[in-house]
Amino acid sequence: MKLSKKLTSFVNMAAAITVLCTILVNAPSAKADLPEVKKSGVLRHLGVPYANFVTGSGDGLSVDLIKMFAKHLGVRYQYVKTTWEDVISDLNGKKVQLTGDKVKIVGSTPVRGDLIANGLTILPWRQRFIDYSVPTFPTQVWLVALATSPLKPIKPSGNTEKDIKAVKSMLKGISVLGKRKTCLDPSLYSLNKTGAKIKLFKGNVNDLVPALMKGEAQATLLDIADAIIALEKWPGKIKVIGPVSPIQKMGVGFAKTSPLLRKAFNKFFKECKENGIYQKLVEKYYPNISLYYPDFFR
Amino acid sequence: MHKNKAHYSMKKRNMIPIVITIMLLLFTAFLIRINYLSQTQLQEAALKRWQMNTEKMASTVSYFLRERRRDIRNLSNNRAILVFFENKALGMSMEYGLMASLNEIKLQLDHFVKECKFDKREVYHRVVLIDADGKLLADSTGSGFRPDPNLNWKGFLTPNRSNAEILAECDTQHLKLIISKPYFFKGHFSGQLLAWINPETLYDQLFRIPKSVSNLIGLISNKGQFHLMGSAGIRISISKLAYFAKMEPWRIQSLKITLKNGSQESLTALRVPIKSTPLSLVNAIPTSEIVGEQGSPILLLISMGVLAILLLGGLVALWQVNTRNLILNVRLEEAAKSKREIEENNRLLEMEIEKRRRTEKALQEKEQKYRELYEESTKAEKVYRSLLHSSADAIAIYNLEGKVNYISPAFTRIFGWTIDELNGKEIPFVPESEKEAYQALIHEVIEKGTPCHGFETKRYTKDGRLLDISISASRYDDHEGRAAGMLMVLRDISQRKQLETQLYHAQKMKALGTLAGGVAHDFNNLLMAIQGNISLMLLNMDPNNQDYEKLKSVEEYVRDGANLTKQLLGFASTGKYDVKVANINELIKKSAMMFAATRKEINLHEKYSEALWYAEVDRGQIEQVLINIFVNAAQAMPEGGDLHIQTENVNLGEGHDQIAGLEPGKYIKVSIRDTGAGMDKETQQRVFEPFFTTKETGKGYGLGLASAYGIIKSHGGTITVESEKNRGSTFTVYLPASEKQKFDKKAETSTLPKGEETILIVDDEERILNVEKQILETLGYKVLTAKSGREAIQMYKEHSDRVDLVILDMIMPEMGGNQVYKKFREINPDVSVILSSGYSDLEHATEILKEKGGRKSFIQKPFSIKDLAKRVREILDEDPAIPNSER
Repeated sequence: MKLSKKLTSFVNMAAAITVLCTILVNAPSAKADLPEVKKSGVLRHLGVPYANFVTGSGDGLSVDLIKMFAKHLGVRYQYVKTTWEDVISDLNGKKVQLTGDKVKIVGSTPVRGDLIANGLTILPWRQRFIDYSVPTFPTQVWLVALATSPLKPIKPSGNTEKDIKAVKSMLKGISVLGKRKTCLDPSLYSLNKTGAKIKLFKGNVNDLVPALMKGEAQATLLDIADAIIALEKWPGKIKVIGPVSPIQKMGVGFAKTSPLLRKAFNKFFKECKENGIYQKLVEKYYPNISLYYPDFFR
Repeated sequence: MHKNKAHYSMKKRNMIPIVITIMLLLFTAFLIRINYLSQTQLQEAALKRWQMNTEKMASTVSYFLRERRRDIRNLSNNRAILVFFENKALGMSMEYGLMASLNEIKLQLDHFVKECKFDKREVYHRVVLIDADGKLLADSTGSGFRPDPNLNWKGFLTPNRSNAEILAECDTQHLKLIISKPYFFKGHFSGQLLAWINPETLYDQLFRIPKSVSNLIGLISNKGQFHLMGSAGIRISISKLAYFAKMEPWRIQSLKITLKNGSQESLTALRVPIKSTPLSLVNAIPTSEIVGEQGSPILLLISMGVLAILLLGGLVALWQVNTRNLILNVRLEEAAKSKREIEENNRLLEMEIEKRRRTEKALQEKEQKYRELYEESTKAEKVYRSLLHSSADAIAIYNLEGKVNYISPAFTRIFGWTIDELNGKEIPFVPESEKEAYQALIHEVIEKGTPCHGFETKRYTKDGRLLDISISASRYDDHEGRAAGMLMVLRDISQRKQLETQLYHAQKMKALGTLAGGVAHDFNNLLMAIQGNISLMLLNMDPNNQDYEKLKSVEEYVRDGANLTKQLLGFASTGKYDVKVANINELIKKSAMMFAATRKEINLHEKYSEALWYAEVDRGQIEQVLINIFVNAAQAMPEGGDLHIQTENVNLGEGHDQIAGLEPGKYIKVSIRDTGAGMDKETQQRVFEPFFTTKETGKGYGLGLASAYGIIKSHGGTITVESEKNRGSTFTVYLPASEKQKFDKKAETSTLPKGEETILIVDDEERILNVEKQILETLGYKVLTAKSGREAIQMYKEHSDRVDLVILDMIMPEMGGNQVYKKFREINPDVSVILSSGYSDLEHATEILKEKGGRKSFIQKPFSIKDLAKRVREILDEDPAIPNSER
């Protein structure tokens, strides 16, 4: 019986690898590597309005950073608005269906951008379809509840794993909002196993807290950057219960066919960190983040 | 009565000053009182004003601190603090959310410190938020503030109070004014806000004291601590400040304070409590700055009394001064007199100085003049020296002892000695034979002062050559007119002398030539008659006739005679008749070859210039010259020897290149050097004279070299000889070069040429006329004859159309050949003529031969029938277009 299970797992894994290879081999070539970008004279920035990365008002940490990168390359900057659902497809031209931790290619779509930059958390499933730059921003997903919620913020133990466990232990029967295809997808953190009532939000990530306040759920997942902003916006209205994920990293996403563009960005980003320009951008949009991750921004 | 009156008058006079003095004292007392009252009022007003200013300052501080309390109240209402306590109340932890809220508070505090300014200076040093447990939550420190790390925060907590309070921690070094405000969240004491006021802002903005005012301002806390805010001009030790802390509020006090420099200062001080604070303001100022330097009115009274005494004393002093002024006036008069005397002396002294200055100026002008004269004299000396140096003639300057002081460069060039060799010595160049004459010359010049001009003598050169010299000498004097020496100019006239000698010789030779020519002319005419008749006789005589050989012998004798006269004519420079352009090298080669064939014992050495110029010569005559020289050489070398012949082109100019009797120009030089017996000087001088011979009688006529001389001279050249006894002789012939090219000689014919043309013969000698007529008729010609020039002209006029040729004798009485020829030319410019002469007037014949137009030639008497036939035919067959000189 055990042997049969292992065999089944092996077959499933082989099938998955085969599918992945097929995807990679048959993927339509995204002709947006560095030479093509320079030749076309424009760098297309795929972005979803999110926190202070892409504010939707024409600025944000990611917007400013990619504008500077376009200038560095000597090309024109172009913002291409997309959604969390389509952001990967718009980059590599493949429509992806995410079911639990399984991913399927369900079709092809036109390539609309050359890179993704909007606080894109580096997640394993995403890494199957796109390449990431070096980490550009730290993050962590917190559980946030209404101030009136019976949920009480945990007392930090000094150990993240213990803190996550403590949070999850309180979720039985609690309705929790999440957002698919993002780092706020509850399935990424196995919240369904906690007895929580998972609610997948259809709207924009920035609207999670208002939804919470409207009573759509008792709690919601927010990443740290968004949570800090929310705490400032609605003081006394919401509270942070504790973490549901370990510390994560965000990065800029590139099509796997754009290694030169990714390499050029990594080099550019390193220079920005060394000459202090990136630090100033972070202080502008996330003045408190360095309190939590002083080492990352050092 | 009179005495009483005088006494009264005297007493009255003495009373006047007393009365005046009393009145003055009363008036002074009145002034002092007025002044005293006004001073007192002024001091009171000043103190009042100062007190009001101090109270105003205290009010300002009070107002300032009230504003600060309001700042903190506003800060406690900041939303970030509220958010923090809200989130905290929700139980959030620092790690998960609360830390961000706290950071926001920190940012707000930073913003508060930075933005809260008073007249551009930050009001607060530090603002902190502590929680209810006395734990520091957020801290914002301004610039230039050192927070105390050991602060006990709990000591600041005031949970039972609600308003902001002023806390004062004062010492003499630092004033710490802290605004403390408790923070209540939802009615519960949750923390405390503390803000440290920057004391510099407080002082600079509220207590600005003008530098001109000496002021001392401080704050006293309710604990009795004094803080000196500032002291302009007052330097006071810290220990003395404690006194101000004990001052009673609102009361103006006078203090005696010992300053840092040890001096005593009287201060007026006031302490004013600051409303709603635990502080009082203390203001202290030197009393003199409020009430003035004069101090109290009593002091003023005293000083005025002193003034009155001084005024009285001044009056007395004035009387005494008047008396003394009289004495002084007298002394001033004396001083003025003395001053005038001094001024007079000064004036005299200035005149003396002016006089000396003029003298000095005159001396300077003279010195300048002498300097210019010296420079002119130096220039003149240079000019004279240059003149002496540049003279082409040698110049020597002697002293009176005949020793040399100077010789010119020309002297060194001519004679060879330098001044270093001769300076102070006699010149050793006077030949023995000239010494006597030289002494006489010296005597005349030095002793008598008679100048000498052109005295010709001889002098040796340093290398022993004897030069012909012309001396001009004169005595010269020194600057005082005394005879100082002799200036001698010596001109080298050696070349001139040599030319003179050559000229003399040439003239002598010319005279001899004229003589010889005259003899030869007559002799030739005789020979011509003989020759003609014999030729005619032989022409018709059978060669087997017994007289034929005798006639031939006579003809030979005639030819010998003709040769003899030919030599004579050659010497007479009259025999150049057949002039043609010739290559002298060819003539020499031809002659030398003939000569060598006859004298095998003589070795010929020939060296010819390849580019030798041409010359216009009578080839026969030049050949004769060469043969004569060769023969002479051969006779000088009876045992044989070497004969060197060389030709070259030379350009003879003037000066050293000059050859006597030759014009400057291009010449062909022919040198013929033998290795024979040579000649002494006397022989050399006579070698070209006719009939001079060193041979035995009968072995020569002595006409060979004379003839050569004459022929070369007739060609415009010359011939010279250089010889030394037993060392051979060198004869050098110079012939003028011609620009013309050689013209080919026509081939000679051996048979007698004949013709049928008509020939006019003109000759004053009838016998010659007859002979020539017969010869020409024999040759087939038609002949006309004329015995004189006039007859010839008449005949030519009549028959010019049929006369083809005229044979014209050059030497005729009445009208010479040249004149007759001119008339012929007038009749017929193309007249053909053969000039004939036994003497040959070279000058006239040459002129005619050079003229353009017509055919012309010359034939020398005596001539043979062959000579005549040939010459006649040459002329008649000649192309008249070819110039005569080129034939």
